[in-house]
Amino acid sequence: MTVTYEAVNREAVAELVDICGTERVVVTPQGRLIRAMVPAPFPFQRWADEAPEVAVLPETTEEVVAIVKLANRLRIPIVPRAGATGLNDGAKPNRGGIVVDTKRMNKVLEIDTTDWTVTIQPSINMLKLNERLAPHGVWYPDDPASYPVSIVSGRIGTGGWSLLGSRYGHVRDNVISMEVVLPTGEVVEVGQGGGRKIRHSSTGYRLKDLFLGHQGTLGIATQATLELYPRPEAEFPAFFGYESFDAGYAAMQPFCRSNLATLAGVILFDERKVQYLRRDDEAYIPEPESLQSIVAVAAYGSEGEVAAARDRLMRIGADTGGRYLGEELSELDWASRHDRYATPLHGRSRDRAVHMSWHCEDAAITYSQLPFVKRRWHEIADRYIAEHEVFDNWGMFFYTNNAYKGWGDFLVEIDIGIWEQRLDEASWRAWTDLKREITQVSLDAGGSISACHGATREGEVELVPAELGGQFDLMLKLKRMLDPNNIMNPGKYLLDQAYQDGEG
Amino acid sequence: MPDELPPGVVDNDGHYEVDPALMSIYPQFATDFEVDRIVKDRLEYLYWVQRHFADQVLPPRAEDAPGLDGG
Repeated sequence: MTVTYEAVNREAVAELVDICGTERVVVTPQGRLIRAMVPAPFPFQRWADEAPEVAVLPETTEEVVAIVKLANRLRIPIVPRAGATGLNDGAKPNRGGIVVDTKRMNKVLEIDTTDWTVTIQPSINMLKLNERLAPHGVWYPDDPASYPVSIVSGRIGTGGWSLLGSRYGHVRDNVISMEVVLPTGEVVEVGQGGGRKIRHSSTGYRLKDLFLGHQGTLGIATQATLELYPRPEAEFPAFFGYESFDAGYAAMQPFCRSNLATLAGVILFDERKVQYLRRDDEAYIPEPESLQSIVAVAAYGSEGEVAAARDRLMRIGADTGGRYLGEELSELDWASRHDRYATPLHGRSRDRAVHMSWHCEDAAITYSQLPFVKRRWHEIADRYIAEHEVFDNWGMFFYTNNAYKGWGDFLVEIDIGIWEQRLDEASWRAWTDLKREITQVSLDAGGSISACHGATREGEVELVPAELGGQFDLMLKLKRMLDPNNIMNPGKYLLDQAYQDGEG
Repeated sequence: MPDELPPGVVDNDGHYEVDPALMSIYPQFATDFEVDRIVKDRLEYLYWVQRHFADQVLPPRAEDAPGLDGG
């Protein structure tokens, strides 16, 4: 079969108004264009082409069901949109249609301090959720770089990475169960077995993971039950400087093998990242020029546990030749994990300071392959920078997963400054070629294209079948089974292949 | 829609935005007062966000933390 879509006509808008009311159906150019935006760079000249035809803001599961059934009946594409802070294209329509902007579904439904769960409408921001939880002495520890602005349902859609994941797990670990509206409008509870608050079950298939990281292609989460933890009594961040990348790289292992259960993360910044921060971040606290890499660590937990971890971490820093960078830098730079890249907003083009935004390309890589990936990614980035004045290299960092277990793989990122005002079709093509080359390096290193953001964008998505192999074929079959008319976020992850003639 | 847009604002298909020509001026002018305000506000914001994560931030023991001058 080949899927064809219908435009959103007056009758469809009228039905949406019947479902949500006039105030929550948006047809203005501004309201539609703003819902085509994501933080990842894209050519502005194509902006209007990727706007939805209408946006709706439901408040209940019943309204979402009615919207989805309408779209499925009329063959109109439908795109779930949460905070739209993700670094892939999940929240951006590829085929017009209806954007379901879920941000009004942000109610806290139950705080259970006996079984330690919170049940929510998932379009609530984590910071706001934790403000509600704080009086109960508990918190939900998902901590993306976008923590102050992103929302839980977007985190479900991307299956994202938490900066405190080594201590508290990632989204996949802390979403216990969900209520999901499928592309046909059916409502299904997914979790560990059937119980909404059960953390581990051996009954049936484990379907929860299917709905974590699907980039809005399989349904819309309308409720979620989340894990709660005791609010930390204390944290301890420490930054150590090293005189070479190799010294910092070697120091990662003793930190990761410290056997500290409170260790939330170990992060290595390479020499290019340190140079960039010195050069273009006026708010960065200067440190000695001799330092060429930085290892940052942080611990969370009870005061006694964190105090003991602090002493061991300081000793490891000293034993590995690290130079402690001081209390002020450690505390503030750790805190700035949420805004580091929002601050400078300028980079260099041919050594001139120009206004730039940025994009970080990520991968999941094992420790042994980090030097290879670092060398190759910088070679590729520098080659494109030499040819195109719109790019700048803002360095790399390496963020361990499951640090205290000692064997965790690494979130690896390279930050590329992009002079978006000068981004034309030729440099856009160069950007996707750059992405494709560094993505291939990740696969050559035995890694995964993305540890955190997803892999839906041009320049990387083409390589998803190569990474997943037979799993990709299974993805196609699942997509067609759950979304027979391909209405749910069509055009993402190459899933249109599931509907090509002779397939499925 | 206003009869006259403020200087530096353009109408892009009914969507108001900063004139892209202004965005290509670099470096942009900022007074010392503005720079100080931006840095002060950023630090205030960082401390505010960080208070969401734990009741206290432990300092290193004095003997472990000679700092940049003594390191």
